Amino acid sequence: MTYDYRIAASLSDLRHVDLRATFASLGVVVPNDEPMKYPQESLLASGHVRGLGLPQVFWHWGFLTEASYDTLKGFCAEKSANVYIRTLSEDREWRDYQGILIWPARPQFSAGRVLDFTLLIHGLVDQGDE
Amino acid sequence: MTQVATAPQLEMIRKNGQAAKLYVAALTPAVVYSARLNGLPTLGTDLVAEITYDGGSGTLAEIKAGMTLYVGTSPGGQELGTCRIRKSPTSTIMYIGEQSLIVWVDNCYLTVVLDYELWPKHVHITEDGSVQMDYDVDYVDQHSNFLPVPIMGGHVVKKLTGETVTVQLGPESGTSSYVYGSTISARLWEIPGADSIATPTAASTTAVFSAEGWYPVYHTVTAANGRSKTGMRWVYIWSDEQPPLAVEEISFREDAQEGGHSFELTVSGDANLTQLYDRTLCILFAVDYFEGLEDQVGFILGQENIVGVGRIVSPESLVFGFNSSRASFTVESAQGLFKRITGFPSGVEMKNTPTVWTDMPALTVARALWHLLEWRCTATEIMDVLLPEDTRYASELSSPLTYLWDQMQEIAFTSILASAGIDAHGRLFIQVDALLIPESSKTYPLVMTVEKQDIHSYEINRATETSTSQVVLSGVAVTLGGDGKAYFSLSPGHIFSRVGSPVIIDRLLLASQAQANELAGLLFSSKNNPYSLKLEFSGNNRLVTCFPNQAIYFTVEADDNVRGFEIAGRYIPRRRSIAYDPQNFVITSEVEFEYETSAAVAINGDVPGSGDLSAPPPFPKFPPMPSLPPLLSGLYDPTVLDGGHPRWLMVDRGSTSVGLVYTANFDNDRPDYYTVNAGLTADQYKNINKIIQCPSGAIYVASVRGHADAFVARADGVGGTFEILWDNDIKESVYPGVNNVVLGLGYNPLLPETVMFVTVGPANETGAVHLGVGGTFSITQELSNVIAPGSITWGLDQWLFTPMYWSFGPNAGGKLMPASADSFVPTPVQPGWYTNTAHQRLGTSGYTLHHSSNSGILQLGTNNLTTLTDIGTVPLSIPTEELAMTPDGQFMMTGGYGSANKGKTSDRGYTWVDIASLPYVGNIWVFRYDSGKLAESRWVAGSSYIYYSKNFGGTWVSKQGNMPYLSPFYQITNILKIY
Repeated sequence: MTYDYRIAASLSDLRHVDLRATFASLGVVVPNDEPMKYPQESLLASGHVRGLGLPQVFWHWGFLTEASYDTLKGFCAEKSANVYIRTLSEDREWRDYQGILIWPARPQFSAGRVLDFTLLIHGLVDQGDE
Repeated sequence: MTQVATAPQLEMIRKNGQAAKLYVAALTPAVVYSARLNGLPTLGTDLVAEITYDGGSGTLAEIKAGMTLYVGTSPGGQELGTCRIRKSPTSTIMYIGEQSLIVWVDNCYLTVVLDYELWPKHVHITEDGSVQMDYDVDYVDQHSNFLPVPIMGGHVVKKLTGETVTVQLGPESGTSSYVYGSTISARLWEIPGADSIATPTAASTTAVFSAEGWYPVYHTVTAANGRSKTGMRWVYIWSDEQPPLAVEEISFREDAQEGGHSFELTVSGDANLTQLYDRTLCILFAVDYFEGLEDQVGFILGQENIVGVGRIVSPESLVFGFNSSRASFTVESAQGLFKRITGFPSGVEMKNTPTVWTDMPALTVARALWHLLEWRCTATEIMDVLLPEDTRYASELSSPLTYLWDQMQEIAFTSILASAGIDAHGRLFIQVDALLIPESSKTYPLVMTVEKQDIHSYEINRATETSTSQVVLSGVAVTLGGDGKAYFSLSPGHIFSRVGSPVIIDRLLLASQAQANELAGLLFSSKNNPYSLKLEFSGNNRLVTCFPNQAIYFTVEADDNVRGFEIAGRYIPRRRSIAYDPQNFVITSEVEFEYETSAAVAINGDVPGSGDLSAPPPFPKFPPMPSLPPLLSGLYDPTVLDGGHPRWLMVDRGSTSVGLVYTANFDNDRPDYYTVNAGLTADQYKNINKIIQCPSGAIYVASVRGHADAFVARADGVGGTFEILWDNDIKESVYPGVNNVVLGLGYNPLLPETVMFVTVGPANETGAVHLGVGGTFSITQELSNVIAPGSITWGLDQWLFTPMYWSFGPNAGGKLMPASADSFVPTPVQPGWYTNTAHQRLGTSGYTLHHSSNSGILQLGTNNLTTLTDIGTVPLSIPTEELAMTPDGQFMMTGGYGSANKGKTSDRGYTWVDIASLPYVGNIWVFRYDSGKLAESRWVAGSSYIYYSKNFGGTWVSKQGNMPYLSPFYQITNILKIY
C-alpha cells in the first residue's frame, strides 16, 4: 500500500501537483493513524447505537526528529489551527479533509528526538474527490 | 404554518454522523451619522423629545425612525446614554423617543447607528389633556385605517464560499403580512449593499451578496387603505476569512412559561466594547452536518441554520485568572427586554366610530395587542408579530400593569387564555395555549412521531391525584355593538374532586354557553394533566420547539416500564434545552412535554343570585361576631414587615388625577398600583378626600367639606364597585337646592360595619345624620345650625361629631351620640375654639386631639371632650384629622407643618421639627403610620412622590413604583392602610 498522508494550510496546497503536502516532501515519516468516524456514541432507546460528531483522526509517531517536529509545528503556530489533511478514513480510503489540528500539551524531547508524539485533527469535513 | 417533518427530514435526523459547528454573529452597529449637541435641551433633562445639533457628518437622509442614537462624551461613545430616533431629523433638530435619563452636556457627541432595538413609545399628555402617541402623534384615523404589519421572517445568516452567495428572504410558508380592515396591496424589499434582489415586490425573494458583512433588509408593505409600514431584519454574510465568534460553551434554554429562549455565551478571546457592544444583537447559528456532509433541516427556508436570536443583557460576568481570562454573557430573546420595559397603562374600548386613541372598532384581543405592539413600542418593525385569530369581541381590554410583557399577557390571557412567546427566529406569537384549544379547532401541527430510534432515553411522570378540584369559569360574550351576555360553567360540576384546589377563572371572552363549558373542561383537564414527558433526543433535532403551538406523538409501551403502563398520545413541548460538545461538534437536545389532554366533563354554572338554591347546599350561617375589645392607646401593630405593610389604598386627587389607587405589594421595591374607582365618575374620584375601611373590609369614600361634587359611596372591598349612597342628585329630591355638602364621615372600629355620615343643605343649615349598618343607611336625626364640616369618630361607646355651629360663632363644638341612641344629644359638649373643627381620636379611647388654626394651640380632649387641655403651640395648616400618628399619639407626622409642608413630633405634639430627609415638593405631604415602635416606627409618605421610612422619617426609600406611569402628575392626598 502506498501511503499518501498529507498536510497543508489550504486545499489547493494539499492537492498541488508538485506534491508539496506529502509527508515525503515534508521530510516527515508516515504516522500510525487512528481514525474515528464517530467520536461520540449514543445508545438509543431502541438498543441500537448512533454515531455522532464529526470524524477525527489521531496521528501517532513513536518518535520524530526535531526537524520533522518543527515542520509539523509550522502548520500550527498556536495551540490549534485550521489545516487540510489527507489521511485514511475508518473505511481505509484516502480522503481529503479540512479540520482543526490540536497541538499536544507536553511533547517529550529526548536527544534530538520527540518521543511518543500524537496529533489530534478533529472536526474533519470531507472535501470530496479531487 | 406547515411545521410537519417530511420523510427526508426524518431520515436526516436519524442518520449517523450528525454534527454541528455553532457560531455567534454579533452585530457591530455601523455609524450612519455623527454630530454634536448644539445647546442643552430647553426642558433640561426631563421629558426631552428633541435636541438641536450641529457639526453633522454623514447623509442626513439615511437616518431612519427606529435607529439608535448614542450620546457620549467621546466620538461614537454612549457614556451619557442611548435613545431612539423617533422620526426623520431636520437640518438642526433630531427627534428622539421621549426620555428623562440622559444628563445632556453641550457639545457632547451624537452618533446615529444602524441598529433597531425594542423601545417603548411613550404616551404624551398635552397641557390641554389630549393624548398623543410617541410624543406628538395625534389621533386622526389610525384605528380605522390601520397600519399594516410586515411579516418577513427572521434574520438570515449565510456563508460566502465563492464569488457570490444567494440568500432566501421571506416569511415562513403559511404566514404573511396583514392589516386589519384592509388588504395588503404592495410589497417592496430594499437591501442597501446587496448586489441584486430577484423579485423586490414579492412576499418572498432571494438576494445576492458578494462581500462579508451585516446588511439591513427593509420590507415595506402597503395596504389598500393607503397606509404602509416598514419592517427591518438583518442578513449576515460570513466566510472562513471573516468568521463569526466560535462558540466555546453553550447553555441554550427555551421555556414556554418564560415566553422565549436564552443562552449563555462565553468568550475568552477579544471581546471589548467595539467587538461586543452592550445590548448587541447576537444570532446563534449552526453549520450542520449529517453523515459528515453539510446540510440543513428546518422549517423556514433559508433560515434553517438559526438556533436562537437575542441581545446581550445585563449583567455580564468578567472573570480574570492567571491562566485564563474570559467574559460570560447572557443573550435573551426579546421576551427578556419586553419584561423589563416599562410602559404607560394601555387599553382600548370598543367604539365602532373611533375618535380617540382609546377607541377601537370591532375590538378583539388581537386588535388590542396590535395597538400595544404598534403604538406603545417598536415591536412590529423589528419582529414578525403573529396575533391570535380569535374573533371574540370585547367591550374593553386594558392593562395597568407596569411592563409591556405583563400588559400583553394580561390582555391576552385574562380574556382568551392566550399567551406570548418568542421563537428561535425572534418571531412573536400570541396564541391560545395548545391545551386550551377546543378539539374541533386544534389545527396546530404534529411535527413528528418520535420513535425509539430518535431518542437516547425518556422519562415520564404520572400524576395520581388531581391538583385542581374544580374550575369555576365565567365570562361574557360581546356583540359587535358592545352588548354582553354572561355565561357560567363548572367543571367537573358542583362537587369538587376529592383533592386539589378550586380555580376561579373569570372575565373571559366567550362565544356561547357550549364554548364556556368546553373551556371549563379543557382547563380542568389541563390543570390535572396526568403525564409529563422528558425526551433526550439522540442527535441534532431542532425541529421540535416550544413556539408556535405544535405537538409530537409518542408511545410508551407496556414492556418499557416496570409498571406496565401503555400510554400513546400527543404531547406539547414546554421546555427545551440544547447541549453542545465543541470537542466532538455534537448537538443534543432535551425536551419536556405535557400530555395533550381533552376536555373533562363540565356543566352550566350557576348565575349568581338565581337558580336552584339547593344546589350547591347553602353554607351554614356564621356565628355572631364577638365584640372586639377597645383599641387601647399604646398598642402598636405587631406586624412589622421590612418593606412595609403590603396593602395600601391612596387617593391621587386633582384635575389630572386617577383617583383611588391600590397596591398589594407595597413591600416590594417597585410596588404595582392599580386604579380602583369602579362605579365612580371622574368628577367623583378626582375629588375624594376621605377614605375609611370598616372591619368588614367595606370601603367608604367621600368628598367632604363643601365641594360641588360632594358624595358618599361604598364598596364591598378594595376593587369592588362603588355604590353611591348620597350625592347632590339624591339630596336634590329631599332638600332642593345646590351645593349640598358632606360634613363628615366616620365609622365604629369595634363593629363590622357601622358607619355615620352627616350632610347639610345650603338654605337652612340643617344637617342630616345618616347612620348605617352593613351598608344600609337611614337618616336618624336632623341637626340644625351646622355650617361647616368636622370630624366624626367613635370611642368610649359614643359618636363624637365636631362641626361648626352658628351658635358658636367662628368656633366649633362637639356633639355626642351614645351607642344606645340614634341622635346626638342636644347640648354640645365643650364648645371650643378649635377653629378648624376637625379632631383626631387615639384609637377608640376617649382621648381626642384638636387644634386651633387661629391660636396654633394643640389640645388634648379627654372622655369625649369632657375636658380640654393645652398641649403646646404649633402652627398646623391642615386639619388635625389628617395628622398621622402612632396609636398612642406619641409620634406624629403632618403635612401641615412649616413652609415645606412636612413635620414630625415624638412628644405628642409639644415640639415639631421639619422632616428634612423628605424633599420639598411645593405640595402638601400626607403621612400614615405603618407599624413598629418609637424611632424604628415605619411610615408612609405621599405627595408628588411616595416614600417609606423605617426609622420615623430619618431616611426614606421610594415606593412610587408604576405611579408616574399610571398618573404622570399624581398628587397623593390620602393614605389608608388596608387590612
